[in-house]
Amino acid sequence: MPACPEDVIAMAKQVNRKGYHYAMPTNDMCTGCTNCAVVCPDGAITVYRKKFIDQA
Amino acid sequence: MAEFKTNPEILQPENLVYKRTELLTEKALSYCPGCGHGTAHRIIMEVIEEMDIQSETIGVAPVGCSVLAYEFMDIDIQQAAHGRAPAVATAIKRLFPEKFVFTYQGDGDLAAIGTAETIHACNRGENMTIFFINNGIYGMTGGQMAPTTLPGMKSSTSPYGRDVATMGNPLKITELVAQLPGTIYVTRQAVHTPSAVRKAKKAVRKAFENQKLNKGLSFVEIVSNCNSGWKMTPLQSNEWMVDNMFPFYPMGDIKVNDDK
Amino acid sequence: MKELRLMKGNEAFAEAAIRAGADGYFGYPITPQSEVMEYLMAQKTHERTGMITLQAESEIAAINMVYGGAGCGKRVLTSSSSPGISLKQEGISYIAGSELPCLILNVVRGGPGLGTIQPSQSDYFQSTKGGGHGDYKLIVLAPASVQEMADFAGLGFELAFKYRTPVLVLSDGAIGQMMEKVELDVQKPRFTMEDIKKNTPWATIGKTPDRDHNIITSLDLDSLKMEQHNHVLQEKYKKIEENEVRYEKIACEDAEYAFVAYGTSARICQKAIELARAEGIKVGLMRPITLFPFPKKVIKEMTKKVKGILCVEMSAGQMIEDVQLAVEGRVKVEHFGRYGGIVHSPSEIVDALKKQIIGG
Repeated sequence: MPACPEDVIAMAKQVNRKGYHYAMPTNDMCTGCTNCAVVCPDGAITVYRKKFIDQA
Repeated sequence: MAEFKTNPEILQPENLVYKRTELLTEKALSYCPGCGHGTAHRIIMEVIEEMDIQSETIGVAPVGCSVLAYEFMDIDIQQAAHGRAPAVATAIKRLFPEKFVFTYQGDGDLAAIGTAETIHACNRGENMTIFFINNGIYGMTGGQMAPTTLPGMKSSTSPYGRDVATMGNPLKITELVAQLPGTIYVTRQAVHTPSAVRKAKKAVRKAFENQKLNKGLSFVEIVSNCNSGWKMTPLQSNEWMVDNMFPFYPMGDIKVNDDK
Repeated sequence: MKELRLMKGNEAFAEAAIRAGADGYFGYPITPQSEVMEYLMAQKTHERTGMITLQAESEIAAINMVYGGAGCGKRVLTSSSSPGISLKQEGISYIAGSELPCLILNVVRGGPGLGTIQPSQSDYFQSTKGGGHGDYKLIVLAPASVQEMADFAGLGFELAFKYRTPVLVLSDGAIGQMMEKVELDVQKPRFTMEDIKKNTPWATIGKTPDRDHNIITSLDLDSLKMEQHNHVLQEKYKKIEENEVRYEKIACEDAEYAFVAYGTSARICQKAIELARAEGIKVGLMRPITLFPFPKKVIKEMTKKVKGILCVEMSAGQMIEDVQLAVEGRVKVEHFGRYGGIVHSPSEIVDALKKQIIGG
């Protein structure tokens, strides 16, 4: 999946109801950059990003 | 590969940074996987949501792959005869000048059968927006040649490649309408990478904001892939598009005239 | 207070449309009806009532502008003449299929093809049997005077909104161009947003949170749904046939023969009646005012008394088929008419009556 800078998303081996191999996350390296969601033609991706407050 | 499970702690509403817009209906898109239409629909509806103008917007859908756009866009919308969307939208805008009116058209709709309607709506300077999805082919009807098909490009009605001598050159309708004083904003965008999508969305936003200026028509072309029509995989089609469509249809603003 | 004026048919129609509360006119010049748009432009309709008058780039663009305005619940109209009406057929089919109200004026000229600019009645089939593709009908009103040209603008909008269907006013070059006295109605107010929300809740005026989004379309890829939709349309046309037939009968009480004619032909038949009766021939005129719905029952009723019907129309014979269907073979039905732009004279009609109906 070229849009993801961390190589998180890949195409599943299974197919969904429409008969397509769908995109799915494969590891927990996601940074919440939303690149995948922004480029997805089906708007299928929802992104949550936990904020880390800088203590310094 | 291993099935990855999302950490449920992160799934809190305050952590939400991106969600599919509410203004796309629940229906699953009927476009081919990998098609730029989905992304184009999405950014337009996101802009309408962000500007909070759902109740002030009326859209006009074309004939072509996006004939069913009205199923996916949660706004009041009319489906127009092939090529006639700019005429339909002209009447709506003239009768409701305070509403935001846009057409959403493909290359056959806008630059073949609808050429007169496109040029005259632009020439009259209707205060509306035309979205032009250019994928250089007729997708819905099975991959025939379009006015914007590239020289040498194969299609079902140009099986040996577009022969410029008998079929003419591709029609650069966007550059044509940019020459008319009635257009105030003419731009060409794409939606194949996240940065392209972000730029395209800015263009969509500008096109809608322009309607408040009452100074003329905004024309946003979005060059898209058509993996079905071009007989490639979605990834291949995006690469092919960058290598072949972009040199012919360069990205960027062709006309920005908001100081008129 | 109604107003009395001496006006040209086309202009009377235009003035009456303004007074009927029209919101938008979209047209393209073509002889013999360009006066409609010229008049509206000269009236500065936008200053008078806020009505939009826009010259489109073609008849095709004009009918699609009408579609857009109609989809928003507005009173919109267009006008043209035969070749231009041919161009509009796709748009008219879309408007009928999407169940939208609108008004279309056809000032018929001789055809086929580019034809001539002289009057004719050769668009009857196009108006009542189809014109565009698909199973649909238009309500067709046939004026025979400048007064009716004016009256049918208001009546047309009324019927269009009552049934959510396009209404065609089928005039001809003679009535469009002739000048007669006409009584004009008072100005009706144009629809407000509240009116639109109440009268036409399906209109696309901007989705508010209290309802689903409105879609105007004539497409349904699910054929079962499409058949259902066609049923709805057919039921509508049945209702129109039951309730909206309009006609006029002249000198029919003692008539042994009858003319069936509309528009200009009907006017000429009135003189033909005078001439024929002077010779002792008892003939009357049955003038359909609505060509759809066609006054079939009235004509069928007439066959109890008359011995023959001469269908007079400036064409090669189009309405005669509907007359024959209504008559069901009970009496002789013949056609007489000059065409290609020629207007028949009263004496020609009397001669035809004698030769084809009484003699033959």
